[in-house]
Amino acid sequence: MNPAGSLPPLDFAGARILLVDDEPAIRRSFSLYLERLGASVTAAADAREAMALLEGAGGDFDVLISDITLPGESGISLLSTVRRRWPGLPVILITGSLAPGIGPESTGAVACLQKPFPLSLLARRVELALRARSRLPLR
Amino acid sequence: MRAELGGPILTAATLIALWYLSSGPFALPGPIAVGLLVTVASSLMGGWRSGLISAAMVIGYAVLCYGYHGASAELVWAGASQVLVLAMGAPAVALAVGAWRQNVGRTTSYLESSYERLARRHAELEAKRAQLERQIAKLTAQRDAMGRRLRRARVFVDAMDRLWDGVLVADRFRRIRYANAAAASIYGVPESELNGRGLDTLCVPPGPHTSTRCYDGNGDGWAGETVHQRADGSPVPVHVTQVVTRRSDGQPMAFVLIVRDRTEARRVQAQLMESEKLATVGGLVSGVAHELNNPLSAITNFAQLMLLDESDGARREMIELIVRESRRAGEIVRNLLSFSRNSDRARRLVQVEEIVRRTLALRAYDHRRNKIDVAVSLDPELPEIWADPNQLQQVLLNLVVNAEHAIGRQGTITIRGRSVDDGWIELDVADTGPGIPENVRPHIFTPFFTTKADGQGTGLGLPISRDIIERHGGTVEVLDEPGGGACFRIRLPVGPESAAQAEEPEPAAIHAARLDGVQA
Repeated sequence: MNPAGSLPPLDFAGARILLVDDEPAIRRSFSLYLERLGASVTAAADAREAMALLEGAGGDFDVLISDITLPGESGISLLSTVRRRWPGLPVILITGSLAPGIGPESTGAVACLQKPFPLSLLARRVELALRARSRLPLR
Repeated sequence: MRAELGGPILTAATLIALWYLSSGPFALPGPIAVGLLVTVASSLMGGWRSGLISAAMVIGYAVLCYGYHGASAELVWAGASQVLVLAMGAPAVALAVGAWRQNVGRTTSYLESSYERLARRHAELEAKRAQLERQIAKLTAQRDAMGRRLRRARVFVDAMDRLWDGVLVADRFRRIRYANAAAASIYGVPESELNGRGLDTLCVPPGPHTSTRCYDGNGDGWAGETVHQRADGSPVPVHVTQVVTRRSDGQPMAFVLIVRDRTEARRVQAQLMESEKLATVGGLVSGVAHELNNPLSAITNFAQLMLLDESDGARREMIELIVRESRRAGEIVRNLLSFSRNSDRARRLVQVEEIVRRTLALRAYDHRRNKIDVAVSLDPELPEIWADPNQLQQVLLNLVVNAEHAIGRQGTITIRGRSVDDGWIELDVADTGPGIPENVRPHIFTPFFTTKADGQGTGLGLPISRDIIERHGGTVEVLDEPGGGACFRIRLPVGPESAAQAEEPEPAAIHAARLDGVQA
């Protein structure tokens, strides 16, 4: 685990991340952190807004980070739509409670994170996703 | 009348026979004498009138003979002498016969009266016999009824002694006159010793805890929960149903108490309440935990972000404290969530020894610092068990940390493991601390109950541990360690609870996902 006081040695420069979470504080903290690592973060509050942003950009994002619990359409449902439309876009799911049966294998997500988790863990999972997208060299 | 005719007819028949026998009339005196004898017989048979007729017939016959043969002096003499003899003998005979007949008459009447008396007696005796027979029938019926009642009574007594409820019957002086076997066992004495004891000796002596009545000494009946005391003075919770039977003047005649031992029921009830409480708490905490997750995450995240830019030492320390404390809060939330989550999918065959080693490694630094020795004695034959290694480690960690807290500084934690029975293992975590006081013991598995200082314990360690062990099909109990410390004993089944569970493939994805959380 990284010490809380320092950034992990990662560079997400040029990476475009779409972040979906209905909690403004969570959204803001993740955005700030990922931007500190060089990523360009676009935030959405629910699945509909996220879909609109994706359509607008023609699916041109490198990582989608989404909370499972969202008002209206859930993060799982958003994920399955995204996988149909843009199969190459890696998705990281975030959940308040881990329900049995929800995991990377059953959903097709790159990772599932259970709140609360340290920001450094999010950074490592984003790194994983970017490698899957071939935006970072495989080590 | 017939008897009167019979004599003359006999005489006539005799004379005619004599006539023919002598081929005509003959004058011998013999036949005259025969005729006269027949006359006597005739008079005996038919009375004096028959005798007279017969005598006339004989005299006629004699006159006929004499006339036929001619009367010679010799014949007349002979005849006369015979008639004379007969005339003298006949009255004597008649007298004798009369006397005999009289005698016979008396005898007859005597016999007749005797017969009547006997007949009357017989009738009396018959009546008596009938009466006695009726009495016998009545007594037989009574005896049968008594037999039936006795059999029924025996059934009742038998039933009484097989009842699980105690039954006491006391007289109007409230002295016990009957106690069944269950009553004897409730009060911990032989039945014979209950007999004669006063009902009041069952009551706990008046004190702060005996506000309820023990039985009803005056009313018509009563039912309720109360506390009685055993022969050794120990209290026993009971349910009493009581009736009072009364004489016609209203005075109590007997007190009947049906006493049910409520010890077991109370225990079950307490257990039920405990598990209900756990279920309620479980539902509540998972809701609260979900709600807390987002604010806690935001606090931790922003504190971490602030740390990235903070160079002032004092301020960094404060922010680090925010991070550490909010992570601790997050840990509590995670515990609460694992408490309410049914997770049995991460199970595999695990070596107990490895779990113990991993757990102790986590605490090794603190053990050194607090001079706590750890003695591990595991049966080398200890089998691998089917369990979730992370959960098992969580339980062991809880127990080890509890033991540390109990010891404080300087002491020994002993971990013992062995196979017991068939397919079970026992794992003890014992300490040399002060032990767990009797009044605390019932609460140690209650969520949020803690004896630790504020901030040291959440009151969730033991309930979660028990929850985990019970989900594994095992049990946790607390025992006294010789020397005064506490000993927590875990019993776990070696194999999975069912073959179906064992064959279920372990979803690696979920395992990985969970590990993401565990790393936090």
